[in-house]
Amino acid sequence: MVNLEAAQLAENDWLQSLAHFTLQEAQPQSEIAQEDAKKWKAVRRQIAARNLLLLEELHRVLEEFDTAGIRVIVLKGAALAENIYPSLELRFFGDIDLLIRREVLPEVLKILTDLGYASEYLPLRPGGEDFQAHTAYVKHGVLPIVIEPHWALGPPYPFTDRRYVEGLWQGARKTKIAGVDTLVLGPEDFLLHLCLHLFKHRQETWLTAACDIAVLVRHYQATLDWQAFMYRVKELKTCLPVRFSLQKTFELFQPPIPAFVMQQLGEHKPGFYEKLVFVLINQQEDRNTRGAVSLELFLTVPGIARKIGYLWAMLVPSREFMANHYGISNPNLITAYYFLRLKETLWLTVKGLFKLIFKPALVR
Amino acid sequence: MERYPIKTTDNSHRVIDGEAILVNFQDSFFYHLDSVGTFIWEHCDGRHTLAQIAARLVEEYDVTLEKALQDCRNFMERLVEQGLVQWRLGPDGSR
Repeated sequence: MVNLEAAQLAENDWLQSLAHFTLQEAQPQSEIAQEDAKKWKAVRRQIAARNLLLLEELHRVLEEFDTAGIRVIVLKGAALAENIYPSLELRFFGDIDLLIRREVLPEVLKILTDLGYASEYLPLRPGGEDFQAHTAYVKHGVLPIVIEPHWALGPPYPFTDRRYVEGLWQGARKTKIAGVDTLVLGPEDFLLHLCLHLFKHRQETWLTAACDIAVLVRHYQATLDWQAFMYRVKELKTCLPVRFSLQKTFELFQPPIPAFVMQQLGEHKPGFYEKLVFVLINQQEDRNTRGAVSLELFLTVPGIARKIGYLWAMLVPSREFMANHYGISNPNLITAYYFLRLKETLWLTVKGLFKLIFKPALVR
Repeated sequence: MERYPIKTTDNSHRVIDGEAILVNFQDSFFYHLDSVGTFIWEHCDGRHTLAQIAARLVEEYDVTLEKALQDCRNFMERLVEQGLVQWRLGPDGSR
């Protein structure tokens, strides 16, 4: 009997227990496979228990959505743990990501609020979450449970184009997750999503995404339409991040990726802007430095009008955001902070450009 | 009247490699059952009495009926105590 609240699990525990499991399957008699076998089995049991708790919550949420006639595509962790990995204990997931249609967002948020969730995210301006195409709601219970409704994949590269988003829904597959009939992305969209996710987390948790890609490719080996996948990748101008992610995955796990895919990705001649975006994003040494995520979003948010809108929201956020972000208690000081913010943003831009110009090796 | 053990709705379980992982949503504790415990747990479906579960246990494992019945009784007591199982007074669902 173990208390889940006390059992602090981290992504690293999952990766180590997964590595141990894989080794045990491949070479059960080896010394390393025998070593600490009990310990890693116990970790996997904790992961399974934790996942069961999250899936129970997902069950409740999906049933509420179903009653309200809201269709949902379950993304990433929950879908991978339930459908793609061989067993629930082999994929740790921390939050629940769901794809919904933008027009049902108010209804979705109302249902989540009624279920005890609250937003812990304050957008730059009212409606500002549209730039990122997702929001996050949290419920603090036995474990804090985060549900992220998305209405497009990304960021980075938040493809909100109506035709593309509609394609995600058309390609979605029926499945059962947490005991409820629901949908998951089609294999090609799922793979593209994971590739962009790896690229997003290339400096931190990329190993997780690489595992996911390798397991997904093996799972859908017989049915994954690589031609269709490549068509999407090229159409969305994401050859560079996808090549980056597939290469990283291949180096580690050698999943069965057809040779023509890597060849086409390698031979791809990106356009100027496509290359610039990739280089600007990829040159950032630490995604957690100030301005890095904003720059990433600005570069990948589609369309000039939306870029201008985002820039405006960045430079002139709502007064509520300013007060919260800078911890301003005196409302009369907010205006002064707008100038400070403008100065900060300009400084970050100049610094970013300076780094780009003086790191020519990165632009190739 | 015969009593039928049935799982409560406040928990969830998965059987992995023949061993059940149980999570109690009331107190956030989780349990790991060995293969015998998992066998008993899976038969807590409101359709088997304790004696019937013990008889199945004898068919499946090398154990006497007396020992199986005693083990079932002890194990069930713990499951009821933890709120994972409750008793039905008949297979019709009346408690």
